[in-house]
Amino acid sequence: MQLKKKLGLAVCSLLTATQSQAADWLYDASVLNYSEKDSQQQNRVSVVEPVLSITKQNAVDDYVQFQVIYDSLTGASPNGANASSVAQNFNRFIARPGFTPLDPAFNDNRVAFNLNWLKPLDRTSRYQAGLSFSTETDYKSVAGNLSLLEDFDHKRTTLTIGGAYSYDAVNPHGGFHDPFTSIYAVATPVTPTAQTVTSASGGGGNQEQSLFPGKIKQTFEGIVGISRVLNRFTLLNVNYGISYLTGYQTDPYKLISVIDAGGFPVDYVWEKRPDTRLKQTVKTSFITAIGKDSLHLDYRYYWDDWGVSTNTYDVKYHFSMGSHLYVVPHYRLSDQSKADFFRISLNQSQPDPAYASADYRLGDMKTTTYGGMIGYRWNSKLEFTANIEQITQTGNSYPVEAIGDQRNNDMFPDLKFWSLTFGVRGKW
Amino acid sequence: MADRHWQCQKKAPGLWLGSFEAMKSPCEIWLETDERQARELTQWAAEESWRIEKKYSRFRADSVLSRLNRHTSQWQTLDIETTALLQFAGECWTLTDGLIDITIGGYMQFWRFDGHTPPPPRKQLKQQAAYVGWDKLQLKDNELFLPAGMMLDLGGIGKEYAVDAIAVTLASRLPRGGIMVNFGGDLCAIRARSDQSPWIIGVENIRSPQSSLQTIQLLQGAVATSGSSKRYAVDKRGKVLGHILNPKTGWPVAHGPASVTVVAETATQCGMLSTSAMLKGKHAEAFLSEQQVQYFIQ
Repeated sequence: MQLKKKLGLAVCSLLTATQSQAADWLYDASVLNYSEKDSQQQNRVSVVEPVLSITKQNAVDDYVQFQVIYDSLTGASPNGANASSVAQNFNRFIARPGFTPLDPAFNDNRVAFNLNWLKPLDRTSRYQAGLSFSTETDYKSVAGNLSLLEDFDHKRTTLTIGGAYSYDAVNPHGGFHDPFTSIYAVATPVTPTAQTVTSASGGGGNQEQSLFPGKIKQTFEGIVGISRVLNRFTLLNVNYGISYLTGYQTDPYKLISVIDAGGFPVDYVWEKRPDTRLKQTVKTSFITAIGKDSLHLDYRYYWDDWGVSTNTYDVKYHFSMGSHLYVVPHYRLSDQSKADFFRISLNQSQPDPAYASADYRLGDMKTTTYGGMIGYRWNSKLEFTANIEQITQTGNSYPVEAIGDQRNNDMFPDLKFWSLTFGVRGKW
Repeated sequence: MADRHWQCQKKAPGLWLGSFEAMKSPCEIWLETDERQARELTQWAAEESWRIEKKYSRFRADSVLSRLNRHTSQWQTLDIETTALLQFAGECWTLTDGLIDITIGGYMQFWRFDGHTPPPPRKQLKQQAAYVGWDKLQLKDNELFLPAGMMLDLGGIGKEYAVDAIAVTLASRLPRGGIMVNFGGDLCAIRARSDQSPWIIGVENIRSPQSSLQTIQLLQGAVATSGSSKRYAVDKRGKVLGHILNPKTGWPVAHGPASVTVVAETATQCGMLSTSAMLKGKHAEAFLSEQQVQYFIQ
């Protein structure tokens, strides 16, 4: 008996030492392609985004992942001025009458690196940590995150507590501008270097030295989440997240039309946003297996102290078609209500408000997505996916605040775009 | 590995048998799951078996084992798996008072267990004795010092280790459903079948290999057999000798059973106990009865 037991212990040591050996190398490569077009038939932004990630996985809860993302953005994006029945001249380009002015110099290339790992701490807990770095010609970002995951009740419940920090710097082409000053103002804007950050430009830039040239923004985030296995087929997830952003949050490229009593533009001024923002989200996810298929339902409520709030609903159904093929139709609806300081324009005769922005992304906006994904598992080592989505964004084309000529023009053309992603992933 | 294949067939609703050849044995993976998982796991098990075989075979010049045997008289750094295996071999040597000794590679090189090659001269074996004995090598953490003339052989441990390691990984990848890994009679039924019906295992009859001596009904557990009708040496007079060498003499153990089968929790424990029993010669039965395991002696 003694010998058998002692041998048993020795075998245990042998197997635990060698079990940790079997690491899989997983890879995932994809290319995303999308092109926006608005209801005025203007081409907007096009993005091509290849992504590659490599993961060294020792076990499901023990891996290291490195990811590289490259974004190539081209096209034109609204500069904040609203459409008008007259032609509008913005120095670098002219907008035709009746069309929303789009700044054509929206080209940029971005590279981002993410490093992510998950490691067990003991039988019921693990931690996840990540570092990321992103750079484009006018924007740099460095961020880190850490979460602790703890299992309870025979792994039926998992609690996640995490935090993240991000340090971003924007250094726009053309430099910073004082808010509410005319875009035609002669005074040369100062482009700050890494050593000096002027206080004259914009609101809330940091006075101290910064890591990168430009103005700084810092983000502090926390999340708490609970995941619960309800029964053999069903999983429920509830998360609460809060983030606090401090620093320069104005968009240095966006302006606002200043209109006269007739609704015609007489000037354009640079926008201004607060230098702090408190964001919160509550999200719940529900996944249930139905035979070999599964249903995913998500609901997310977002709100912040800028007055923006959003309800997002997302549903996906995973059809398993045999041992190789699967199809996942997808529908998503997102309904955003505008920031307190969002306005389509400023009135010439009225004093400047504390903050104002005409960026359509802060306005009332409804986004609807219809899409589907097809996946084909060639074998246990290789899988192909194709994802296609049609996204429509609508806003308030004829808001109450529109006056005079503004009422004859579309203040928020519908935006429609296709997004196509092809991917291959597997292990070797 | 171009011509090594595996296959997977349905044996009953929800019960699949994956099979392939490895370590000179027919290998079986029994799984209670769906076809896709069964095929995926059989492929993994086959590739893992071939990996272990390639790594520790003494018949392959490119194996990690052969490389260790070539670089004697110098400290060599071992990978995690090899370190764990050698540490385990050392534990077994201690626990069995030297009966299990992987340095018998030194003797093994002179024998051919093909049923007709004559045995090596006793003198040659006596000279080799200076180069056999676990206490003569040094293993410090993951560093090995193998003196010149010594050779390691993992033939007595490798197959059972593969069975257990593969069974444990399959159990972690398949959360439910019966699992049994059987490599030519060395097996681990790591999880019982869902309906609690036993795995039925036949113990090969040494004298008439086509028929079973006995069947073992196993809900969960492991079985290994030492001694075989297939591999044996013969002496000058054609008398059959076994293939399990006594580390003290280099000669197959005398007066022992033709085969010993042991049932325990892991294939490795079974293998160590059955080999130890064989090496006890005429005391095999006594030894086994003390171990409180189920066993069969032929």
